[in-house]
Amino acid sequence: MSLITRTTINTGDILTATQWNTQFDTAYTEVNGLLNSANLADGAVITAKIADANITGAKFGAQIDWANTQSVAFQEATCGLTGGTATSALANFSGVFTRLGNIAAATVIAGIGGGRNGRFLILYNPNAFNLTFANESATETTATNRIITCTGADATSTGACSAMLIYSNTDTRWILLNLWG
Amino acid sequence: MGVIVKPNIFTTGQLPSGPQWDTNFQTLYDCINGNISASNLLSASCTTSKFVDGIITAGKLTTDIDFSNTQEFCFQEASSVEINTGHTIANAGQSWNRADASYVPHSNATRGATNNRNGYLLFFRLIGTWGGSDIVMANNSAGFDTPILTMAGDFTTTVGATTMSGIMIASNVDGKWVLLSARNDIS
Repeated sequence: MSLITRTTINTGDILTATQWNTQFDTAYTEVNGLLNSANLADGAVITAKIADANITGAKFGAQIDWANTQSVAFQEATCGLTGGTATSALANFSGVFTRLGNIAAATVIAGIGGGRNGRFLILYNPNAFNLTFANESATETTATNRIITCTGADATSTGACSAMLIYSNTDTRWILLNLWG
Repeated sequence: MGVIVKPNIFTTGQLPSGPQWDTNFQTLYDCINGNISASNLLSASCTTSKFVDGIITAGKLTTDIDFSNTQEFCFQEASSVEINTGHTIANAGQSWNRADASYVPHSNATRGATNNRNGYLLFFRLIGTWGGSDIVMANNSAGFDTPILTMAGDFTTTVGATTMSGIMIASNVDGKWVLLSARNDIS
């Protein structure tokens, strides 16, 4: 409804009940679900007024330009993968940045769960054990969890390593962007 | 408070009492004065200018942030980063840091970096004359509060390299930077 106006009452005017009701109804109707941007002062929305977990990607503008005084952090999560098996599907991790702190032997990751369009993943193996990303491994029974290393072969670190992957919705595979270490 | 209901409806010929007026107005005023909630607002009523800058914190974001394939994501370039006399990458207060063209490094050996808060993603590009020597990023250098784990030995550029570029992320568990990628140029 946006901005509302009321009937001006001058000295000596006698309003009918209907006129009074209309005056109130106009204001009540506006307040009951029709307040919009025009009714809000600039800066009216402050942090406490935004419900948690309500800002989705669609609420961001077409171009997200972080100023050169801003920084972005993906807080570190941990994964219980202990490794040591011939192949392991990476699961039970969360967020963007995951630490594979429990790997106790050389490990092959044949697949990664949780893939969805464009999901970006940073993995950190702090252990001295080699970590292999298997290329298109049939050992991973869920095909959409498989990894494309972009070399046609498995990619293996020498001991500790870091890696970045992104999920392709077209290929329905994780794409290994980088394996460092 | 949500949706409000007018307490008194007047009928033809009725002379409203003072309390009836007061109640009708008070209900309205009470709603406006701090009790406006989602049910009072039209959908999409909170446009950009209505938001105070800096109010979107991590807790306000959904668990999964899916940017569409038409949205762009940029880290604007800062140019304050340097390798200080303590051999530490410093002044990196943002995500994409480039040493400016006039930058002269204090040292060609990098042993740590400041501002290593949990999960801080740092893109860096160090530029310098380097005195014709190679550039070294030391692995887990002892004696530094915030060393860099290169995932191997010291990362050394080609002799004569003028830049070192890469990405690192801060591990809160280790209290160290984890190098994700690095390369050098001779240009």
